[in-house]
Amino acid sequence: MQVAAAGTAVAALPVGVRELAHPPAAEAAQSPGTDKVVTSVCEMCTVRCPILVRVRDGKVVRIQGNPREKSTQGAICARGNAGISLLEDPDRVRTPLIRVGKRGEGTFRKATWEEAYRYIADRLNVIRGSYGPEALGVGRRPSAGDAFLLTFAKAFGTPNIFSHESSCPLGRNVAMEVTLGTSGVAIDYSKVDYLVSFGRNHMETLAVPQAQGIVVGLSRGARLVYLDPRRSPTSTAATTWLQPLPGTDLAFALAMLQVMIAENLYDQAFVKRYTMGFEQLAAAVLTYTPEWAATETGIPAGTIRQVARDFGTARPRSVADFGWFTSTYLNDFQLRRAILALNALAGNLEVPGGMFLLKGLKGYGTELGDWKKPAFPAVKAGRVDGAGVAGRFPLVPVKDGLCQALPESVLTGKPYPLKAYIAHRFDPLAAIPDQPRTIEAFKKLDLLVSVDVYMSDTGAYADVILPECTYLERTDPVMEASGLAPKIRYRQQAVPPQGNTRPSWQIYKELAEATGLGEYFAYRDIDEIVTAQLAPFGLTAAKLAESGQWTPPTAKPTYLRKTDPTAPVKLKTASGKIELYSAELAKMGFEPALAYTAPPAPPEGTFRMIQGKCAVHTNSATQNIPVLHELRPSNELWIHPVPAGRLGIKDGDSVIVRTAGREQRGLAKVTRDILEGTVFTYHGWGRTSPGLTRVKGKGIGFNALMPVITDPVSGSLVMRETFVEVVKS
Amino acid sequence: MSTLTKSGARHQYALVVDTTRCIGCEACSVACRVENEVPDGHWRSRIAPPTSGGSKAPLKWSCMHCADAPCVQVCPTKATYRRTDGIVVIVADKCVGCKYCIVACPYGARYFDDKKGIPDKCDLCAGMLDAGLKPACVQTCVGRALAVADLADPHDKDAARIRSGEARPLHPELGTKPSVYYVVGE
Repeated sequence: MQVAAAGTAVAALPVGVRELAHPPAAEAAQSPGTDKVVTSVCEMCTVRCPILVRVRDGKVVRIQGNPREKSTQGAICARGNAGISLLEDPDRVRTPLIRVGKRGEGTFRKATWEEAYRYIADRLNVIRGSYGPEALGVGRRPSAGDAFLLTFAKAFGTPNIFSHESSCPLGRNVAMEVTLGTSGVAIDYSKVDYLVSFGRNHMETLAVPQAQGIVVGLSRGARLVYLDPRRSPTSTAATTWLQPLPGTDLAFALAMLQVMIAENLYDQAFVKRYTMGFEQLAAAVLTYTPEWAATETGIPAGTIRQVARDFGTARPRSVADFGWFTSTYLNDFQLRRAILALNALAGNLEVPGGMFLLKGLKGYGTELGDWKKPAFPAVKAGRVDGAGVAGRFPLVPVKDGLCQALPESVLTGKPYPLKAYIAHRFDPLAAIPDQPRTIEAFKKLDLLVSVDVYMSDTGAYADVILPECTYLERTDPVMEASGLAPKIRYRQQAVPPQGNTRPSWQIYKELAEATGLGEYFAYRDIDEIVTAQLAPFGLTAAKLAESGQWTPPTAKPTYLRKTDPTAPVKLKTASGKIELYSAELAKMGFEPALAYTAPPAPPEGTFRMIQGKCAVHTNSATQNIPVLHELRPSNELWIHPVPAGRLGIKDGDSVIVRTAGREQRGLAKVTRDILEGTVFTYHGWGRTSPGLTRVKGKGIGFNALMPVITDPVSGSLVMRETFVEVVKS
Repeated sequence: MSTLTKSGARHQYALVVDTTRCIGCEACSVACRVENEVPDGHWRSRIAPPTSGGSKAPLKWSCMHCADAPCVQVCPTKATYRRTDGIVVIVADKCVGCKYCIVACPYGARYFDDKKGIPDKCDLCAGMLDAGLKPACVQTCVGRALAVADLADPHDKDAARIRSGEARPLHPELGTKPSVYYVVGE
């Protein structure tokens, strides 16, 4: 890349030069005119792929993957390509709004930022005076700008900080923390020879580096065994697709463990050196034979035995995927533990084609700097959700908490009621099941603030909507993106914020100043923060911006056990080893060994309701974005032809999905791609906000139907244990 | 227009779609839509998803750049023509907007662009190819399933996949001699 204006951290490139890896100098010379090319980081989902943003006359004309990133090779997904459609969407909120109508009506008046801050600050200070600072809750989808909301919450003095994680990967994260001592673990996908995926739908719940790695592996002959009651694009890509009864993956995993131990197909030296609790594991799985698992899963014993043997034979380049979205069944925590045990038996930790610990900056002795702020006030009150508290949810990280505690606290007053809530890039109505209950809670709040690019469903109930600008219009703090080697990435502003929108570093600084907490935000602007972050590395923003990412020059991709299979691997569990049996769990009153619980069968006349993601949308956040909406404007209820025939439902018919006195309407997709007793829809529809003009009222919203069920160990929501009736409408 | 290879031979472009590497994510659909400023409601390229009864893999679907292109044959003003490098293009100035080509295309590749007043379609990002770059769909492909082959280049690996018969056209029985070739797994 020709760096024509390094001082402004923007490289100039000729019009028409679209492949930016290494444009030949001769070509650059031939073309007059310039498109600015800004290195940045995508925010259309959580993965944060590095991108190049092409800007012409102050407008973004194209976004593409940064070809310097080896794990994506210049690819980005449909959502990443559609960033410009979000940027230009007329539905975006472009000025602060203060509610004038009833909560949920979506009637607001335009306000200045100062008015909006004053409105919020006055109410927050009253609430603090009456109920204490702990009456404020803040929730967010974790992002590079987390520091600002979190600093505001801590400065205010509340312990009630939530993330969306308990509605997504929390169960997996907690299982990893318990078993491996960290959730900072990744899979070396492109080098894996034999991957078993327990419903991790790589080709639709899309993380580009992972999907690309798997395709690379498959194209050189690697195998992918994929378990899913539904035929998804990952079923199509897989070398073997198995269709277990929903909620029985655990039986499959336990039987694999049983076979590997019984047939001595595991890495004994690894197990001895790096794990503890093998005897308890062996005893626990003794009776979980493939024949037993066949009756649970509906998959033939021979198939299960074969997968176990192939997995054991391919070790250490065999991996059981620990998954991503794991807010599924009541036995999910056990499933994640069983999956981690499979990997332990494969001895795949820290070898090529296995699992590896993320090699962060910390390990290399230097961490990102930060802006200076005073010590936070001491927090006196306990959390409303019991996260990190013995006897309640001791294993749930306090940075995440249980987002489902919001309605519980407000409506029951136990242990005390939240009175104010700030939702940042997070829509509790779309994330937390039992939507009507969350709405009831919203109506009882003294203050609800939504910080978002759209008027989300929650936004329609808010007192104030603060319009954040999109990721293309702002610079964020430098983010860590470490893998086999430490790495940082830099999201920098490509175009000025549209309308009266602002970046979160500015929003929370100004809100803090209005609330009397300005001392915690004593920075001038984001550039000052980035400079402070990079200072320990002797790196400047301009230098980082040239390629958009940076790895310490001395750091090389590292597998700790590549050359020496006995090399030490530091694990932060109590024993320092992989805990196949967890004394910590026993101490807390949880099951310390592996054990099976069968999922309840659907009551007569009902279906188990499951949902998943599609590749062109992220959670509930992108369904209204024009181009992505056009690709997939709605969802359908997948139902097998046999029950559909019994119910007189034909493909494309209108149907009603009912449970516990609630219903949702939608269209039926009659297909053999789902099991008979199960119905499926894609997640993220059923939106109600009048501000989402395209998607409002479309599709089936499961959140309106599901009850809140919480995993007692991990605090994760359980979203696939709901049974519904389906009738033709 | 640069249509000469380094050795002086003419380019002969074809698109290879390796369906065994396609994950059906539609990154290509959106990259194309944005790069070519395709109007709302239209696409130059889409993915037909696999179905339990039909195709086993996702199929990227766009203009097939046929050697015997019906759209070229029916065009009364020769606004649509096939370049010497194999890319079927349309020249806006010559087009009278009769839409014969839309009807004639057996692959349904064309849409009418109201703003431009022409029946537009995929041109394999000809401007980018001319500059030695990859089309938007190829560049963004998550599974690295897409490649532009140059049949005039004897050393081109992707062209070899066409010559060997590993990559084959879709619906050759239509007799239009398409230049998009698909690798299909077992």
